[in-house]
Amino acid sequence: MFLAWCRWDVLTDLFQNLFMTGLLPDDVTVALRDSNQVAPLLPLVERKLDYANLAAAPA
Amino acid sequence: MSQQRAHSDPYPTPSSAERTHTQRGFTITTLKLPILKAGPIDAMSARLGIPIPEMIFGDNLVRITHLRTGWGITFRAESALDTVDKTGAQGLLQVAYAKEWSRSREQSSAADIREVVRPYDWSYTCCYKGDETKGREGEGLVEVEEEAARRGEKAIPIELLKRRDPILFADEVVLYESELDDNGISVLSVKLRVMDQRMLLLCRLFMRLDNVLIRVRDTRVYVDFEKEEVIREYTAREDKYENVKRVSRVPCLVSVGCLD
Repeated sequence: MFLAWCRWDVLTDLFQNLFMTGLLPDDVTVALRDSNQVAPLLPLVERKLDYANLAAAPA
Repeated sequence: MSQQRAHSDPYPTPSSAERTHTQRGFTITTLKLPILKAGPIDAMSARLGIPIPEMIFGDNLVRITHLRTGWGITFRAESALDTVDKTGAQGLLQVAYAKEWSRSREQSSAADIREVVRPYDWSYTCCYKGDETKGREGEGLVEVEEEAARRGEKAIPIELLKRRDPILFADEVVLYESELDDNGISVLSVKLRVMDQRMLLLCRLFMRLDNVLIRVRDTRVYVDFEKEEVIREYTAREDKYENVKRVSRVPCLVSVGCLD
């Protein structure tokens, strides 16, 4: 959302300022704290599938 | 349900804590209440036989019910913790500095400590798939054979879920969280979204033991309201911390910075 309305030059300045304050989190550290980013990187060790058709049940 | 009431006795139960949505013959309920107090925590710990994570939302729950048959599936913290390894049979994890600590104490009396008094999986890794309530005529989930599952039969239709259908009901409920004594995090939460024709629930355990291991245990429940079909998929993923760190990338650094 922010990126959508922000002018590119302003955004560049903001990025620069954030970077200079040292507050910009390390990319890898951030990724390791986000399960949505980490999950696809992990190998699958187990998978189970169950199914139910409740429409088949008597009314 | 009586157990649920016992947990919530000392708390006010605001009417806003429970949210219910009915969609084409299915009722979806979420309940979010404060963290448990000392009494209920002790009681739960005694029932389970293991210490409880620091942040335990024992009154929280997520439930899906099929009104015509009475079939249902419920997600709650105590049942999830009941699936944690309580004997240490699956091997106990050690924090990153454990070896160094042991080496530095080889000459001291601590070197004689070999037995763990109460071994359990202190990372609270569970293999929780929800508590299923069978229908009045015994309707319920049946395991899909491995070969059929591999062929993609009865798979959750990802393409349908990617469609931008309006979301009629959505919620996120945390069941428990532990910071593993500042060695990482273990959090179990349930997220769900309901659209007009289908819904998806994701119960995810995310466990990161810093510099050692990362685990994700996902249980997805997909409901097709029109066909009255339910698919439940459980996946377990894990890898060493170093391997994940090597391959992880963040697509846009700027967006991360701007959100902070």
